Amino acid sequence: MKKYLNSFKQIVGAQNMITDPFDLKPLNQDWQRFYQGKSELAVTPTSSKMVSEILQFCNQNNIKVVPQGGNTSFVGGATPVQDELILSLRKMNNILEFDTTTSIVTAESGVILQSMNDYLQTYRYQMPWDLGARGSCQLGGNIATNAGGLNVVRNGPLRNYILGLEVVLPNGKILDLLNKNRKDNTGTDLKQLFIGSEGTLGIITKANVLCAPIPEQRQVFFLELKGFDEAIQLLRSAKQFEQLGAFEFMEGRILQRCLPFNPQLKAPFEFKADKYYVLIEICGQQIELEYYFERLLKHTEQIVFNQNESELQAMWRWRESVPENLHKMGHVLTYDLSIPPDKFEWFAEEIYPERKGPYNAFYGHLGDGNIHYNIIFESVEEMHKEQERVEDKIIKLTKSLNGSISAEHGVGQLKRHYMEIQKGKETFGYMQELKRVFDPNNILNPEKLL
Amino acid sequence: MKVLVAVKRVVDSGIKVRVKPEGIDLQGVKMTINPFCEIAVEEAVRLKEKKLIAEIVAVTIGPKQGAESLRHALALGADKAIHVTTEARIDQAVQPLDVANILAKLVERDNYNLVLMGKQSIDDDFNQTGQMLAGLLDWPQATFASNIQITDGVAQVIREIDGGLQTVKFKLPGVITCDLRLNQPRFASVPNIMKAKSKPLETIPLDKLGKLHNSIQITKTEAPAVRKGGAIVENVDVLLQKLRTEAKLF
Repeated sequence: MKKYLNSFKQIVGAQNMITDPFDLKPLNQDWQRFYQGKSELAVTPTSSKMVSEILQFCNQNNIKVVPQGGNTSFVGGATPVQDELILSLRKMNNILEFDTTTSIVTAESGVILQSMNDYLQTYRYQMPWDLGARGSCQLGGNIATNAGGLNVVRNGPLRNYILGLEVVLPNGKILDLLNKNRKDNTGTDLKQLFIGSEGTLGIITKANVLCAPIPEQRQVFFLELKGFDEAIQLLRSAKQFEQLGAFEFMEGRILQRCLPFNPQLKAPFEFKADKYYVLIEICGQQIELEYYFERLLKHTEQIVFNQNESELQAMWRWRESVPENLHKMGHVLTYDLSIPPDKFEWFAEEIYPERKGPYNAFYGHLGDGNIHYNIIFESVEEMHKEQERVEDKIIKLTKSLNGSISAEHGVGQLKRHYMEIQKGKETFGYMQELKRVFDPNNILNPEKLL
Repeated sequence: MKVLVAVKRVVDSGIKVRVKPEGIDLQGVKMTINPFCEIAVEEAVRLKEKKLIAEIVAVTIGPKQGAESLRHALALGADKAIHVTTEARIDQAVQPLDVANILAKLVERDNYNLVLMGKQSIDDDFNQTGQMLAGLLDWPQATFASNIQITDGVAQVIREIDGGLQTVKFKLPGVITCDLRLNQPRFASVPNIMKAKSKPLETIPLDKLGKLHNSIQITKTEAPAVRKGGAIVENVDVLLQKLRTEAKLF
């Protein structure tokens, strides 16, 4: 990379280059510290034109590039594998316009999700997707991952809300797929290829996003159930609620272990390891509490609900702090799977019969059939020893249920070697061909996804 | 032992308020029990669970919607509720001395052994009502309670004061106002909020118990000044210069 420093200086300017190893350290590493890259240079372009010039230069000189947004990937998708150039979108953080009639916002891909919401709040709108990393993750990264999150059961997938994109291709060409038309049936929808492509086909630099109105009222219920089948019965009822905002599930065996990590946080229950917990959010205009009381009481008497904003935040905090608390409990193997919702517990029992072995627990977006299955080890050695055996079992079992080995987190580095099993030779073959179409020199995010 | 817990209904502290010249805009704004009053209710419930008191009566002063806060208190564990009704603005026209007088009337009527309340309400921050009530009743008081013990009709209260903690002891009846670290109120459960519907709720028009004198007039309501942006300076010399010329510190 050293021989190219001057060239990059010409393209981006010294102020948009990071070479200090200390500053590069957090960019070379993912937040879970599973992966360590060796990049010696990061560039922080300030315009699509600059991104275009960078990629054109890299393509001509066979320099590998890792596009990086908030670096919040769960699968090592945003960090270098070797010494690739890191292209950070952080400075392209302008929100360009909001159309109040169509509720379409146009923004550069480096805007942080929370910042989008702060801006939209004035207009009483919000981003249609939401996830725990909202304070760090960026628009471009979210789109490149087709991020899932907490609102899928209410709003559907991120894909539904991307009306247009501006993408810089590996050869430097700027592909203008920006569009503010709600309906546009004029042939193959190319932007769909880039959504979820994890930065392997092009770098997203701008997006037109259809926003969702901020619900007038939000009400959260936290329920304690005696068995997993009760959670499924509850799910069946909740799916009939027109105002259903979220449906999240947590095993008691996880929440009970989270108690010591949130000592000041008001707990809805004295979490028990043999119980099952569900968070249901209702949102809309004029929430009629009695309607929900009646229907929820049919499932259990153990239901609490928030009387004010701070209780609502507290209940969500219990759910959202699970991933970070898990990491405080030991070394965690985490699997983000889509399987039929009623098979979550059966699945866990198949992997570790009677749940014996290393501590294992699942939680997640039960409403979408998306389970986060976690195995906690006391030492890294134990984890590596068990990983191959158990991972193979997990992948095979998921495949046998016609599930997905990555519901929302993406593939990145973590699940690359399972892609052919997951997709089948035929489909995977087409994916690789498409990669060659857009990136014949394989400079963009190599050794990721494909 | 019978306890009276006074609760005030205030704007939910988790939401952003809008300031109008005549006061805070309450139109369509979410309201909830004042956090310190909620702590008082929770403490009463815990004392009852320890079998130190037999009955908890929650009281609020305000319009129709005030009943929701009483329902909340009943769901947390209060046995009965009293709704003193008035259409006056709770955050402006219902003032400490008037409230204290009304509560004193109720104490005389119903013979409570203890009055628990929040140390102050988050809308006006007066921190006067409990103290005035004790004065009117000629009862002992312990304010800013962070711990309450009751043994054989004697209350021992640890108070949070500027210098640290102070422990006071007095024979009941008395008034205790509650501070943040006293307890963390429980969540209200759905079955309990439904049971709350059948608990006794007495409605009394305010003028049967007292009067609102409006002796304190609110002359102006304004939002706090917007914080001016700071600046990052190159070095200590520039810092000193700015402190001298801009902040005019020396």
